[in-house]
Amino acid sequence: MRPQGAKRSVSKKWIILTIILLLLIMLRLILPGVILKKTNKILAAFSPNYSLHIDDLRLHIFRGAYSFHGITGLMKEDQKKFLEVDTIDVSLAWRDLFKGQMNTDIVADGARFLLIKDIKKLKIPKKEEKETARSKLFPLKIERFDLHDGSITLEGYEALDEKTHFTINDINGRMTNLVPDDKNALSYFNLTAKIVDPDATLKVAGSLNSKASPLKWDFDAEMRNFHLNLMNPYFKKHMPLSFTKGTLDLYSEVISEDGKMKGYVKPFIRELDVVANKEHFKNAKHFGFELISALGNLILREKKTKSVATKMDFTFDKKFKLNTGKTLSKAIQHGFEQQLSPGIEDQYKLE
Amino acid sequence: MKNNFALFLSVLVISYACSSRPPKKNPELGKNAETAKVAPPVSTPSMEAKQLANEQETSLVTEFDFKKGSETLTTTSKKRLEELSKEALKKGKIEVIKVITWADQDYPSPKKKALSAEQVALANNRNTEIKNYLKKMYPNQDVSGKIELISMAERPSFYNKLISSDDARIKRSLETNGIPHSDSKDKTAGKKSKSIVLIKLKQ
Repeated sequence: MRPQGAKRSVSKKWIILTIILLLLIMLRLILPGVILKKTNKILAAFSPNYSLHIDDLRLHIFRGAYSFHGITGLMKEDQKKFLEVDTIDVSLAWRDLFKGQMNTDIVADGARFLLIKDIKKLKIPKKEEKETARSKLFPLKIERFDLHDGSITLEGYEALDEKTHFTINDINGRMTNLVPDDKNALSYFNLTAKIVDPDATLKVAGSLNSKASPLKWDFDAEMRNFHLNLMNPYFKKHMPLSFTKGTLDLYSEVISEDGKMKGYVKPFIRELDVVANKEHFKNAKHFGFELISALGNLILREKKTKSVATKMDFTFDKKFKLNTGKTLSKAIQHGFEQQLSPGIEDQYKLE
Repeated sequence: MKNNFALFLSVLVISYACSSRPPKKNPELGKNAETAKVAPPVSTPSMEAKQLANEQETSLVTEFDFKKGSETLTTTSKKRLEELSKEALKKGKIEVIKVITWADQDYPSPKKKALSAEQVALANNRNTEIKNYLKKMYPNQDVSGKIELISMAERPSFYNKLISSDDARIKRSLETNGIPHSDSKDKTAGKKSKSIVLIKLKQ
């Protein structure tokens, strides 16, 4: 039979445990609301140009994470919505924790950003203001950022249907090593997106040295099987030209060091046809452009693969310069002498 | 921009029209003298390989082909592995080498789970061949424990998906980056008979 004293200490233990558990449950229920209210207050006031608002904050204690839901950004002047994000999940980077570092990974889902026309007129928030917002939302250093299902709408540019603004859709990307050190100075980024043609994916892979001043970066980009006839509404309006058929593959490398940029773009156009048999021409200028383009294609087209290609080298040092002579010679080379190789050449690489 | 485009096209037409010499016949051209020489094969890794390397936080990546049905490394493949190894040795000590190899068919679809036993064996044998060749590249270090082999003839197992193993993460990454599977309609980024090798250095 158990002694009386032992019974009392057991129930005391259970009472204390229950109280602690209840306190934790209450904290878990109350804390998100308290933090959310305080955070929204800061986000509403930190910038002179815009305010941010979060609908919901959830804590995920077991995996060491928290998430924001229903984030919106409004311009203060006209209450125009420039940002909408479905979810931002902030979690501990466990792989770094085992190395003795406390960093976070961020995943943003369903981010829709409107790049407003008058962005240059905006006042830049002060460094302290930016830091306040960042430290409240993301108190630990960010090691990796993932973007899923994003889009950017360019307010200054019309979409091809001329009814809406131009939008880049299905943006998915990742940026890693956002906390570089001297041994491992490069941050890496990847991006895929759809521009106009839902069957052609733009792929970008690049690196960035944020420790260098000025910033150093490079990227490789590729887009294949882009259907040129989808661009007809744009071409007809801005330069009287329309494509009956044709696909474009585009390869590009760009690097920026010491504030100067250089790179190339390699377009490969296949099965191009610019003049249909019974095409309706808007005016003589439209007809003239189409005729010249058709002749150009006919002359430069490589006979076996029926492709036109060239390599356009460029530089940008306060002014953009394109090497037109070399561009023309490469086009002729592809058509008559030696086909150009499709693909990235690895000509530029950040060390 | 449209003025530059118009000027460019006009120069093309005029240049061709003004040419008075007959075009030189290049004796190295193919049977049909009107066609240009075939483009040299691409020697740089594909965008999908570069994106995978970026996710692994390394720029040391190479890609090469196997002949259909064969697990033997070609001369070109050996050269690419040697170049990659030399570059890695110059930059530092190796942490891990990841070898990702396809059989002669695309990655199996979610319905299929794995290719035929023959194709699975082919991908595994190719991986082993690459591992053995890499061991020769580093006579002064034992790299055999640092080489991870990933076969694209099989989808990741339930266990690998659960623990989010390297095998599962890399395969998921490649699918996100656009590599087709056996049921995909668009096979543009297909990697049949290919292998991607990437080297991560110690930080």
